[in-house]
Amino acid sequence: MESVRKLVRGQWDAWLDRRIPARSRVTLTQKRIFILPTWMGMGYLLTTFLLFVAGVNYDNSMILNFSFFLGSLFVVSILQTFSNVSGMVISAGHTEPAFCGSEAKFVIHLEKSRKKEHHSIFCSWCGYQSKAYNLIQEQQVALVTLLPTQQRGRYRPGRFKLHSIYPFGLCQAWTWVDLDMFALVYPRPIECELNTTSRSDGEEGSHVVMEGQDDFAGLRAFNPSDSLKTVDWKAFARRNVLYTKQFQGYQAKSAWLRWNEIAVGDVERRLSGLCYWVLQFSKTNEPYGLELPGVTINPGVGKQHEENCLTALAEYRHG
Amino acid sequence: MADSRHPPVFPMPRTAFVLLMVSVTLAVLPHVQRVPPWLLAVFGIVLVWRIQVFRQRLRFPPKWARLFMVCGGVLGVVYYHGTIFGPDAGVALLISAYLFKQLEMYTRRDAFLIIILSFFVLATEFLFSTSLFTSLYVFVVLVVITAALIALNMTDTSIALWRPMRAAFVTVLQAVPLLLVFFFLFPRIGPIWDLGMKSTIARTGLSDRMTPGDVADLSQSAKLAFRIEFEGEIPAPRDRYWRALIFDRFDGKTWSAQGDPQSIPFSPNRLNVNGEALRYRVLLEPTGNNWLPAMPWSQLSGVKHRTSNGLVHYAINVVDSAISYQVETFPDYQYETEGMPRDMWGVYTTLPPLGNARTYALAKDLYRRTGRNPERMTASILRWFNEERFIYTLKPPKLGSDSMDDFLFGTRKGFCAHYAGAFVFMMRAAGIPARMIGGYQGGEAHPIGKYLLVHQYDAHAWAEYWVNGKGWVRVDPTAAIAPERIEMGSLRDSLDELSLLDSPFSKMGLRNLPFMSELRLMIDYVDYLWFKNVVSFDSGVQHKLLQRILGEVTPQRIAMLLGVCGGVVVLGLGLWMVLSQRRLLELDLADKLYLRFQRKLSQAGLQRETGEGVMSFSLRVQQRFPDQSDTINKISCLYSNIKYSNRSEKRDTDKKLTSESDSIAALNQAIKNLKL
Repeated sequence: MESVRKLVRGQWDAWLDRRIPARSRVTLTQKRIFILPTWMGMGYLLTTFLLFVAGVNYDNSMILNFSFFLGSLFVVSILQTFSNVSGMVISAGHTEPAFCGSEAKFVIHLEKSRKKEHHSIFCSWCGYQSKAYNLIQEQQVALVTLLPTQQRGRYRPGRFKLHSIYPFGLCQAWTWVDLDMFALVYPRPIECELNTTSRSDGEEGSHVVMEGQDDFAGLRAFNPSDSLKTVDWKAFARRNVLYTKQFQGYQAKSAWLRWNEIAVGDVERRLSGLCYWVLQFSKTNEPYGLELPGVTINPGVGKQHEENCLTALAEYRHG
Repeated sequence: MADSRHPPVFPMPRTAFVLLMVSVTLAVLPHVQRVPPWLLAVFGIVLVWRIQVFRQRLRFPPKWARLFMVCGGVLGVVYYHGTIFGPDAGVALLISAYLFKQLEMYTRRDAFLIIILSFFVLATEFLFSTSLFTSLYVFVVLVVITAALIALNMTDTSIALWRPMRAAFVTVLQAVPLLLVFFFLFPRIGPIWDLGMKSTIARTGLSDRMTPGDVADLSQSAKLAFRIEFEGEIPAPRDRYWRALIFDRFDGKTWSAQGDPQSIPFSPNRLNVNGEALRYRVLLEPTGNNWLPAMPWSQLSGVKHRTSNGLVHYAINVVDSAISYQVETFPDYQYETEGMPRDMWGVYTTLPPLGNARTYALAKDLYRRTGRNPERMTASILRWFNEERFIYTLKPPKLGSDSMDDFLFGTRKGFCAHYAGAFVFMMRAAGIPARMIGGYQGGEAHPIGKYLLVHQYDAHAWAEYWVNGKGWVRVDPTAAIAPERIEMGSLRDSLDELSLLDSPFSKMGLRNLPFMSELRLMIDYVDYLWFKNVVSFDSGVQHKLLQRILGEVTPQRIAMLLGVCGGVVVLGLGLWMVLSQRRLLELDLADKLYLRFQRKLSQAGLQRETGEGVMSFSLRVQQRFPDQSDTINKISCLYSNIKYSNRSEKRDTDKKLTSESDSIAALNQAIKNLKL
């Protein structure tokens, strides 16, 4: 039984992959939209049928016409439900990484490609049910989903379902879209002991940390993102051009986080331990380096450095 | 707010709630006169309660209270109507269930159920009336219910009330073409099974019992009874007698028509027909009875019916909705010239043996004096009615136990049933078979449409007696007392205003204004057209239509025609929906020009990268073609100026606008000048 289900599932997925291949930007056309009556739609059809029977049996032509009208309305509702989602463009937005066990954020952009409204669009993705999104006045909305993570690495949740029952709730139009999105899942940080020898390792003062605050290192062209405190105002007065002063610092000590120096056993536990220490060092703003089998990241500080280290941990493949 | 006993309330959008309440009210409104009054009170309470729940002032009633209310509602309806079957009780039950459902509207599904029930309650209105006015009303309410359904599925709570209304209106209009296809082509079939429910709808109109002595005040109704379209000329008023019922039994007080439908059927052998046929179509309003009015002798088609030996027609099914049928009348006919079955003779000569001694004596005396000739006897009775001081009135005094004696020798005031009754009594007292006929007489010819309007106030009673060798002969004793009643064709003008109880104009005294009368006839004409073309579109008419389209009518051909027409309509609608949506991102002139510039460059082997800015691309191109550097720089500057300079500023004045068109012209020129 299980194998049959798997086979069917596999066939279905393969068919879907052919029909709606993974792309980062998908426009909904009739090829990609499925549509079926909802349970309410079934109830509505039953009502229509009952009224038809009543009209026939009471020989009442106006009740008959009433049921014809309800039937026509149902057909129109199929077209309108379809029309409500068609022409919508779905594109991949950014993703935010998560520590294993917490929720990763996936942003999907919905945008109009035609001069019409899209109402009450829902997204369900790996058990997550989004709130309703409307594209009425707005040209584009960002649909935010939070998906729980279970495994370190690149998390690819695969196809998600966008669906809507607007305007009548009698039919549901939906599509399965794969935007080829993934989010990084860092190891779950778990506190563990770190071999202290690693902390003294490394040559003292030999690492130059850019963007430090100790010594003046030179000038570079101003970027709008630079703090005004770092602008060389004297130079501005002289030459009417903005320059940013750059400083560098010398790190007295830098720590190394090494694969072998985590006390505990299996791969994931070690990565979790390293992750914990990366976060610890980042919190205290101490410079640290990371060494995994096959990967070495030189000591540094800052958000970018932390992210590099965490990415390395997330994408690490043992053996 | 919500605790475990009170499930959380479905956060219905305000618009949806308002529309739902309006639909509920509008769906119940036309039934107001038919449901028990206490149900209306409950309706008000439930509505107010539900609104208070929505405003979070009250909670939904607990489950036991709702259960109690539902049981109370059902029992109340059963007590009021005495049954749970039949349209009236059914509608009342439906409405009470519908109302109590209001008080457990927690989920979207519950709200949806309210919508479905609204459809039902609305559709039942057609059980009572299928007039154009009713249909228009139903159509409007349908739009409101559809709007409520749309609003229920809207998630943008800030949306205004008119938006779902507009969406519903558009949808309903879109549904109309397919509705027409269904209307014309969907096979109409007769009732599949007999529901076996006798109608309980109370109607005004002819009753199968008539007690002239009891009715102190004949209430006349201005309601329409039926319309008749004649193929030829409309006959003169004095010939317009529409027979419906035969009052063949008299118990001393009441004439009743109970015997005839069960009696022996009509036998063609006993009928002699001469002369030309009169062809017409009767468009009968619902009567709640089986009788089908027609002139004698008639053949009916287009309705399932039986014809009795009394030459009246009975529909197999109770006429609960407006129907129409084709009639072929031979006014020159004779029936039962040779005699009639023995038991029928018995029925038509039977009188209560006791009482009314003076009438008996008078009849026997007259019969002897006229030489035992029924026709001469009739003439002398009519002459007697005419010469004595008999008065035609719709407000006769009550009669005592010997009603005939009391009437003929006492009060001498009465309407048609009094005179017809007295005549039949006297004929029977003399041993001549006679019967009272109930039906309609006269009618009003419509000035625009070529048809006759017969109202309830045209209801009439007259008599028939049997002559050996001639069969049944009609006689109208009322004509002897009030000939204008028969000659005018209608009683309306001789009635005073107050006796027309349900005429909308009578209370205002506007009835006699010529303008109002014209308006009334205009309204009736539109309603007539509606009935003729829409309501009475039945399997017969449809079959004719299909025959004209298909030639031979087979189920396969009907299915194919329906499929093709339906398909074309749906496809057309779908295409229209797709084609009417305009693309959002239309390139403006500057974009088109810049694309031309890019094409020129790509021919020269230089491609603009995705995400590459206009200016940085320009620098790259300038490096590649230093000799064209100025032109390239100009193009890039002009383009980014047009596209990215402040739009509101640009639109400020006409002067700036002209400067934009100038720069587009310059851009065009520069791109043309570019030679690589």
